[in-house]
Amino acid sequence: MWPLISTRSAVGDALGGWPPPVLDPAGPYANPLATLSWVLFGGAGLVFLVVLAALWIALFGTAARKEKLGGTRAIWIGGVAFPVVVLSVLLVWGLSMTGSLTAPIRGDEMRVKVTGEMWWWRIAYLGADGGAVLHDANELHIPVGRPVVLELESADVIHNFWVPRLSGKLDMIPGRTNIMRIQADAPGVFGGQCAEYCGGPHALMGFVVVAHHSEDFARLMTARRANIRPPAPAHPDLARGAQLFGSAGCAACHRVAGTGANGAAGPDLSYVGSRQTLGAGILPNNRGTLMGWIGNSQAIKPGNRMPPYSMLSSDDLRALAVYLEAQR
Amino acid sequence: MRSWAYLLGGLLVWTVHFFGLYTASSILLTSTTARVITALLTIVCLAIAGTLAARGWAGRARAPDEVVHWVHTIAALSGAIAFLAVLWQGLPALLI
Amino acid sequence: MNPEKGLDPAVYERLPRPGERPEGELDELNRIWAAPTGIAKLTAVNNNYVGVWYVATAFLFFILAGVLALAMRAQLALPLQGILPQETYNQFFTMHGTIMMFLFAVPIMEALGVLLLPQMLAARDLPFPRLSAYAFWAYFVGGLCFFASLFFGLAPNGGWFMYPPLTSTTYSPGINADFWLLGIGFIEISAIAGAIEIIVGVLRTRAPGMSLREMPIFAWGMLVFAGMIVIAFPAVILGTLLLELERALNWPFFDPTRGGDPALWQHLFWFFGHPEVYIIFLPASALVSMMLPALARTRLVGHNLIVLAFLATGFISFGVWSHHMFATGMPALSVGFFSAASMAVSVPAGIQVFSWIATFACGKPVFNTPTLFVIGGLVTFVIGGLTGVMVALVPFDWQVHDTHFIVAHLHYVLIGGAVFPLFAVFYYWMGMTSRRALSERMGKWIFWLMFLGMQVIFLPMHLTGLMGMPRRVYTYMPGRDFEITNMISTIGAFIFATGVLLFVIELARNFRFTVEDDAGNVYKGGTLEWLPTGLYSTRSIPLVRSRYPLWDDPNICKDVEEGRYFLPNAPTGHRETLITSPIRATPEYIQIMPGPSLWPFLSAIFTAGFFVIMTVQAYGVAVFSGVLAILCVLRWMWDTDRPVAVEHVDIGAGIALPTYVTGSRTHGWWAMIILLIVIGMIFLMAVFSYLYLYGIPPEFWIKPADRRWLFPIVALYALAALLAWLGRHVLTRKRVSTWAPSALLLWGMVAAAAAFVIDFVTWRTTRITGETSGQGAIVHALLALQGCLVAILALMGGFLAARTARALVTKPRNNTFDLITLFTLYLAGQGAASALLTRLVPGGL
Repeated sequence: MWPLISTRSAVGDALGGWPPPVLDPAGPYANPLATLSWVLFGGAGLVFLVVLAALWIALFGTAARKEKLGGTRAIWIGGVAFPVVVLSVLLVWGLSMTGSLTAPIRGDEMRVKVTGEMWWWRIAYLGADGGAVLHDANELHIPVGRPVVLELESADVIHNFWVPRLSGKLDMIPGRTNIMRIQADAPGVFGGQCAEYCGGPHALMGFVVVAHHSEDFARLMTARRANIRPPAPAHPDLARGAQLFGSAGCAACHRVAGTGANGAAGPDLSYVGSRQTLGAGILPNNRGTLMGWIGNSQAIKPGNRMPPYSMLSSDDLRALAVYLEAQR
Repeated sequence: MRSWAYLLGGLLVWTVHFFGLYTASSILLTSTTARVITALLTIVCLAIAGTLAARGWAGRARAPDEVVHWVHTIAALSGAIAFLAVLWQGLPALLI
Repeated sequence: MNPEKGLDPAVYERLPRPGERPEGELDELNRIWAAPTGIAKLTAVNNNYVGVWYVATAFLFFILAGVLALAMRAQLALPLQGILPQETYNQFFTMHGTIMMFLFAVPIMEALGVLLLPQMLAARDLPFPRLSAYAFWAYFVGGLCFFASLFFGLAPNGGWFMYPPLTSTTYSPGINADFWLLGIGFIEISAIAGAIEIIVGVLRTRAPGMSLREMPIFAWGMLVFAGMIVIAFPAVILGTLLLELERALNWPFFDPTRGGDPALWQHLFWFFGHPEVYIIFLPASALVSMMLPALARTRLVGHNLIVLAFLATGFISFGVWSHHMFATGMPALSVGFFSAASMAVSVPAGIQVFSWIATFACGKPVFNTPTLFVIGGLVTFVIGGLTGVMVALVPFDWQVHDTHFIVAHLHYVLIGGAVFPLFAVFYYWMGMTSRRALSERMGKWIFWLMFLGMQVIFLPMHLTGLMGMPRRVYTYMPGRDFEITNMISTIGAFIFATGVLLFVIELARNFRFTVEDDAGNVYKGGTLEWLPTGLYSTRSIPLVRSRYPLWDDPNICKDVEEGRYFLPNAPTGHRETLITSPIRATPEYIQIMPGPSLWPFLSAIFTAGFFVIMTVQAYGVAVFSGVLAILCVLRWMWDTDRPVAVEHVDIGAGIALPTYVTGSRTHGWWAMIILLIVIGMIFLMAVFSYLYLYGIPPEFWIKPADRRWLFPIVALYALAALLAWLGRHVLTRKRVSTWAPSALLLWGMVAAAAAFVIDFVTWRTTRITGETSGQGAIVHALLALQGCLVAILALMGGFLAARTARALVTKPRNNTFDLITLFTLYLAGQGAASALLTRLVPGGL
């Protein structure tokens, strides 16, 4: 159906540009925007054709037709009355839609705090009292069929949170908390991207939103909050990876729940093994990309805050990757 | 100065209206009070812009020369476009 | 309503006067207006020279910024390319936007104003030719230095709207951002200088009889353009000032951890930034409305509606700045107002498009190169306008904001609304400054390459945006489907560039600069710029009776050439032009114009030097350059405001006009008032910033300086105003000493300075410094603004004293005295307002 040839990988499905995510909405906060888009495209096309036709007549029309067009009356009709009617309709519709999409929140929704950082996303699931109950990074899990309220903040410069299939975009401004709502109608993976230029590798600051059935979501959250992990497949390198994670300095910046690793500067790695992407929504997540990232992330995402670890041997890198893969 | 104020009358009304609404919504945010202020200011400004347009249009007939006629024409048109813009700017009070 | 009574129409019946003019008059005009030769040509101030240099420089920046765009398109053709590394790419897109907006689009419109306006209004020159020269040279030198920052990797990299905190020292520690802030500084100065020149020129130097009704559309466009610069630029002037203060002195205007707010910058920037788009579009569309009648061989349909469209755009475009901020989480109601205003501002655009179509329908268009560019521009602009309406709808904007959809939209608007019209302009008016016209055959190739190239680049780019590709990305990952549309866009960019390259070749082949033996009215226009001209502009200044004088009076060219209209000679022996009334263009007095001078040139070099050297942090040298700039300006001013021996001259038709006039009718007074409006707008923006920061985090605001000091401060400012006013009054009295009026004014200045010192010192005794909080920062910014004015006042005081000592302060009225009085009065008002605001508003009211 979509005529373009796609070279994308499996995770790429969520992040791909075809079909255009703006026109392929997946929830009630994006659906009206897509409808509006289609109406706008159709209307604009029509208006453009009217203008082209008028221009054509003006340039090449018969004398009689040209005469009808060649006076102030044409300006009043074409340049004033016509746009005023069209714009009035659009304005009323657009304002009503703005009103309904920004209606006050109920207060009983699930809340997640998402903080933009140079150049990744810190995620904290909030409890009923507003305190963080679970930390994660670069991947947001939500239940389907109910609105999720996001508290958008920034730790450094201005970022912008955008998951086109679930909602329009909203800035993350230092010193403020902006409120956004998203909702997915069916399970799936939805790509997101920072849309406000935030310096250096702004181009490579993506993320994904994963929507689960309600029961699956509840199970996932409960397990993670209790720090119950799925059993890791046995691997000879696992123990050495865990030891390296501490000795190579990873733990200074990264946290792994339930271990001594408690660094807060970089993304939380408690569940990194289960993530769809690596490097904030840019690479597929597998052992190879993990090793590559740890060894020299600067070659992949120049300017990011993680130094290269060229002193680690490939065996060390593999051990670390095995350890991180087990963090699910 | 009076000629210029007359010529641009409608657009000056628009300016007062727009910045009035902006100030109200900046201080009072999206509240009922802000909506009421918006509605009232809109009605007042619509009345003034409409009057200016009508006066300008009527003035054309009595103009002693072409320049005065022209001033009335522009004054009438600026009242008319201000009327439209003010009307549109009043809509958010009802719709948002 | 009967504006300006004007002269008795019967007087005008005497024109054109039959008969021959005396021998030697023309030679005298030629001698007086002759341009310097050789290297001294750089000191020329005549609009025929400065205008062409100005246009050429702006065009150079168009080419340079275009080359940057080509490199970026090459980088984006395929995913993960390494043609431009990340940092270079970020500098390139910042410079592309900045140069296109600040160094190309605005300057080229001012340049065309300088070049074309005097001719269209049949003035001998713009009223402040030395100011034009100053504006040009500051722009030329400063602009090239700014561009050169790219070669050292020091170019700004924060995007052309430079949002803090990304551009604050924490995240941009290098001097790249300073290059932007200070680089924009001299462009602001030259834009303001140009705007003052254009407003006074359009309103006061029109040919007699050219009332607002007959005024050419381009003059309307430029009037609104300049008016918008006066209102809009102060916002960005203040913004850049605050950001530079934050960077240099750590005053936290935009730092939320200390009571600042990053969104304040966005308000200040976009209050300028959105009107900026119309600042670019209005003159270009006015030029289209000027060319169309000649190209379609008919009169412009809906002339009055277009005038209204300009005026309405000039106002309503100030109500749309926040539509760049729909995604910042502003109050929904507020967002609604901006959305409505954004809709309203598209109505005037619709009026213009249909006026053009109706004009084509009325006439018999000839498909020459300018016509093609006009039509191509119209079609392109309509598409940009339609996507503009889309993004004015808030929910749609939430999706496409900051994506490539916006990149496509803004290029459709700017290329369709300004670049294509400009190319039509190059063809249409080339005959005015070049011995040869440009080739039509080549012109058509150029048009089609540029037009098709434009569509190929930007039409698919809408889709790229909808597919989710944000703007300002130096690369993208493979497998995201962005490859195809990006590759198409890149191919289009090279097609477009080929067209521009051909145009450059065409210029080299056929452009031969001249003032006298130009190719002339190739496209048979009907407005005054096609009168036969020399460096002195027209031989005599015609009486204007219609909108198309050349079409309605077939003899006008001959009559003008034979000197049968106003001022066929140079009765005072100096460069002169007619100053007329603003509405009906009734002759009021003769302005004596300055000729070539080294001083504006040197002032401009040192002004640009000040900003550029400041950026590289050689503060001592920078200050030295700044002082030299000030000295040169003072030296330049010294020669002005000198009455000539001949008090009255006959300009023809029995009208005798004075050669030295004072008070509120003079062009100098008007210029001063406009300058004070600019300063007042800067102050108003500072007041807005103050209230904005006050409204954001109240916990950062503490008790201000002692309120009791308000009494002496306000009283001293009132005394200053009183003494200034009294001085001007005493000047008219016969029996006072030479020094009495000046002494009163000078004592007034002392009072104002004392008031400022008290204000400043009492703030210094509080715990609040510039670094403490947003409150401290903005209070000190207000003090700094006032301090600058006081420093300027001190310079004026010295200047006045020197002139008084040399007996140059003429009685009973003197322009220098008047203008310094005006400045003092304004300064006193601003100082008092500033002191009251900062001490009363935190809880005092």
